[in-house]
Formats: sequence, structure tokens, C-alpha cells
Amino acid sequence: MIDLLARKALAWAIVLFAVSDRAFASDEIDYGQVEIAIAAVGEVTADLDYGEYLAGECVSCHAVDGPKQAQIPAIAGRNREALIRAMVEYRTGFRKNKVMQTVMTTKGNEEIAALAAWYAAKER
Amino acid sequence: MTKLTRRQFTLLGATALASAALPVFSFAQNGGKPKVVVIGGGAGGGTVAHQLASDAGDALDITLIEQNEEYTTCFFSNLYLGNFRTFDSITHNWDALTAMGVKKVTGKATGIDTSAKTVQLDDGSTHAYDRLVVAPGIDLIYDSVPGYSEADSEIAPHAWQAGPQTKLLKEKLDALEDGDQIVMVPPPNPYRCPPGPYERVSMMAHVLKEKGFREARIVILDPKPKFSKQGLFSEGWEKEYPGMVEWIGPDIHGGIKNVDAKAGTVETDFDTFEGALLNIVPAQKAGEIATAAGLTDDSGFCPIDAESMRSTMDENIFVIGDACIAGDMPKSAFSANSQAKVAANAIRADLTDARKFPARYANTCWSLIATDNDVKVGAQYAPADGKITSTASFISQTGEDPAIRAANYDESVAWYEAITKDIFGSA
Ligand SMILES: Cc1cc2nc3c(=O)[nH]c(=O)nc-3n(C[C@H](O)[C@H](O)[C@H](O)COP(=O)(O)OP(=O)(O)OC[C@H]3O[C@@H](n4cnc5c(N)ncnc54)[C@H](O)[C@@H]3O)c2cc1C
Repeated sequence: MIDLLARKALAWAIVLFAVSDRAFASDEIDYGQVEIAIAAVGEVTADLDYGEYLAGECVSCHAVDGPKQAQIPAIAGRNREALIRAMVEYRTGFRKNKVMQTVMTTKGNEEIAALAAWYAAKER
Repeated sequence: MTKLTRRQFTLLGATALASAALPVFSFAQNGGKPKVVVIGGGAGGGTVAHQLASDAGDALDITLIEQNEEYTTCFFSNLYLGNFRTFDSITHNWDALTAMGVKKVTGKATGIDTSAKTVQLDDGSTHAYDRLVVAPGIDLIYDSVPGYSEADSEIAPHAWQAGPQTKLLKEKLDALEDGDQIVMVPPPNPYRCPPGPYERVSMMAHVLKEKGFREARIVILDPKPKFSKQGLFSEGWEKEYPGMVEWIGPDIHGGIKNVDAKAGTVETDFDTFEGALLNIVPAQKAGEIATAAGLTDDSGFCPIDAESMRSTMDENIFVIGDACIAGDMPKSAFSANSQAKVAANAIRADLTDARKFPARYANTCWSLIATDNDVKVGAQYAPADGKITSTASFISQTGEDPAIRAANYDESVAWYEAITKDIFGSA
């Protein structure tokens, strides 16, 4: 019972996070273009060692097990496709957060694929 | 709870070692594990030790030389002044790193013998290294402010190295009465945390305002003609603390002529300013050990190779954090933590079978102006033209949605929790 409640709370926390940066989401961006960019990342073979190295940057704010503050969510163990989508949404400026948009401007498809694969491979 | 299981790197094979264009390692002679010694357990040094212990702890012998028993973060020390944090919540130790196998030696490094590859400590002991990371932070050049001295900092605190100085400043701030004036003298460039003096002014103003003071004033006598996030701070002070904060640049005050800590006065060409509290922050240079070891240039800081954070003076030594010359990167805990990861990657590649990846750096600095009014500046960096160069950047906008400012604060709190775990191995 407690376990179920805890899981529900966790699920809600994730939903709420998704809303928080998406609350600032752009309506000027053609989501079709975002979908094309996401598909392009899916074509790339992920280099896990590279992902581990790049993840060093993420850990400075997201921590390894995720901070208690929902404003910066835990990302380890999340679904690979969802991670790619979030990163591309920031890179294209669909999701609005200045830190994340700037972080993603320097991440090409290879970097996004590597990061998503590495984070998705972590146990939650 | 999520557990990141990192891959463990192992030693390079004997053939790889023999063929590598690197100097002979002491471990190759004595058969032990290669030795990595880190001087300074702050934002830079703590992160390197943590990084290496997480994924190369089986292959490397890691020693952390740190003079103190605990570490109070300068970052968020302004929030302690403003009553947003307790002193305990910004004070950390190295127990978690010790539990991961890092040997913490409490002592002061007094010299580095770069040919014997040893570090000397004040107790006379020596520690051999194959790779050395120098991360001592800054030293203050007290006499860069005419009339000011280290002894005067007991009366007119700088609080630019956190700990007793921070507590002293807080005590003096809390003792002020309505009608009193604070005089702050920020440091000249380059110094640790460019927005730091102005966040501090904001937090001191916040305390005075919360007490209902109407006549208290803060005067900033700046040696610089402009400062970090100036538009954002100026707007914030006007909105949150109207009439309380006055910034005076060098074209008006004409230069600091003398600080008399006992009398509580700062004399400039323009006027003599009296303060019930003087907060004097002198010019800065790399921590003394870096100079003693010949790692600094004329600027007082340490030149490094932007691809690896390796000292340009000695290939077995890396200099990270405030002590190094990091091109476009500001001196911040975020920068030191980011540089530590590049150095750790290079050290792993030197000593184990790990791959070396291209150097990439990042920084974000949040500054709290008032409750739920937090601004940020940040950038991405990569090596270019022989230095660490900004490749993308952002800054908060004046007049932006208060919801964004409030979200920034929550972000900064999450960042603090994450980065202190990343430096010390746990919160
Ligand atoms: C008021 C203020 C606010 C700030 N706010 C922020 C912020 O919001 N965000 C941010 O990112 N940064 C902030 N900073 C900057 C940040 O604190 C520094 O940039 C950061 O601490 C630099 O890390 P470092 O590892 O180079 O040095 P430090 O963190 O200073 O660590 C150096 C360590 O080395 C030890 N040491 C030095 N010499 C020796 C020796 N010879 N032997 C043994 N041990 C030695 C010291 O005891 C110390 O523990 C702020 C700074 C100030 C002053």
C-alpha cells in the first residue's frame, strides 16, 4: 500500500516536472520539425563511453540519484526515447529553459544519442 | 533510489605503457598502483578525487591533501548572510570520499619537487605522485587595497574565503542598526565569482529590509567601471530596495586612497565614506602553493592546456579551479567542477585504459537578488585558439516574468544539492 502511494507520488512528480518547463514551451515552433530532428538522433549509433563522459556535465545539476528539488529532475533510468525527445525539444527551443537550451546548443545528434543511451541504461 | 554503476577502468598494459609517449612512472618501477595526489579539497580538487575514486579507484592510488577538517562553501554563503541558509547547511567534509578509498591527508602543502615528483607538507612528510592536481583556490593580496591588511580583516571582513570570515561578516551585519551604513569595496578583475559582491549586497539589503530599516544604506565603491549582471542587479536593487543601495564607479570616486578599518572609513579622491560595517575584498591570485611550485605566470595565475587542464609548465601537473587561467570561464565552483572532469578524463587516459574525449566545459551562476527573484548567467565552452572559449551563452533578462525568477531560485537550490554531492561524494 505504502509502496503504491510512493509510486503514485513519484509518477506525479515526473508529470509535474514535465509540465514545469513545458509551461514555458513555445507555440511558435513547428513540432513537425522537432519530430524530424528526433528521428535523426534515432539513426545514430550510441557510444556509451562517450555518453558516460558527457554525463559528467549533467551530474553537476541533476546529481546521480536526482535532487530532492523537482525543479531539476532525476534523469537516470528514464526511457531513452523520452530523453531524446526532451533534449531535442530544448535544442530546438520548443522547451524553454535558458540553461538547458544553452547546454543543448552544443550537443549534436551523436552527443544526444550517447547521453540518452547511457542514462537509459542506468537502473532506476 | 537510482544507482549509477560506473565502469571501472583498469591499468594500461605494459606494452601500451612502453609505447606511450609519456615519462616513466614511479609505479612502473615499484610495481604499485599509479599515484594521483590532489592538493586542495574544494570545488575543483574534491570533484577530481571523487571522479577518479568512482571509476578508477581500483587502478589508482588517490591522495587528497587538504589543510582543513571541514569546508564551508563560498557558494551560497551569501544566502547564509541573507538568512536563506544555515551555516551548517553550507559546511561539508570529506568522509564520503574517504569511504570510497580516497586517502585524505590533513595538512598544508608547502612545496612541490617537480623532478622528484613529490609534494612536501608542513609536518615534514612527503607524498610521491605520478600525476598531481593543484586546486588551492585563491590567495588574497591584502595590500592591493591601500591601508588594508590581513589583521584588519578581523575588523573589516572580506569573507571571500568562507568559514570564520563569513560568520564574522554575518555577526556584524546582524548587529547593525537603522541609519547605519555598509561600505563594500569589491575586488578588481580577475576574481572568484564575478557576480558574488553584488549578490552579497542584495542579501545584506534583504536583511536590512526584513528588519524594517528605512534609513540604512549600502555604498559600493567599485574599482571596476562595470560589473557582472549589472543591468539585472541595478534593476533588482531599485525594485526591491529602493534608495538603499548606491553603486559608485571609479570615474566618480577616482580610486580608493585609504581604508582605515578601526575608524571605519574608506577614503577616495571624491569623498571619505564612513561605515558601521566595512566589507573589503582585495585583489586575488592563485593559492600560494601554485606560485611556490613555479606554476604561475606574471598574472599570478596558472596557464593550462585548454584540451586537458594540464599545466603548461609541467606535464605531470594539472591546475584546475580558481588558480588556473581558464580563458572565457569565470572563476566559479561550477567552472572548477567542470574543469575537474576534463582533468580526470585526461588523468584516466594517461594512467588507465580509459579513452580521452574532447574537452568540453560548462558554467552557470545563479544570483539571488531577493526572495523568489533569482537571476542566472551561463555558457558552454570548448578549446579554441589555445584557450577555453565560450561557444554559447545566455543571461537572464530585465523585466522578465517573475515566475521564471522564482523557478531560477528552485533550480539553484537543486544545483547546490547536486554539486556538493558531486564534489564531496555526498550531501
Ligand atoms: C561570496 C561568494 C559567492 C560565490 N558564489 C558562487 C556561486 O553561486 N556559484 C559558483 O559556482 N561559485 C561561487 N563562488 C565561487 C566559488 O566558491 C569558487 O570559485 C570555488 O570555490 C573555486 O574552487 P577551487 O577548488 O578552485 O578552490 P576552493 O573551493 O577555494 O578550494 C581550495 C581548497 O584548497 C585548500 N588549500 C589551499 N592551499 C592549500 C595547501 N597549500 N595545502 C592544503 N590545502 C590547501 C583550501 O583549504 C580549500 O579547501 C562564490 C564565491 C564567493 C566568495
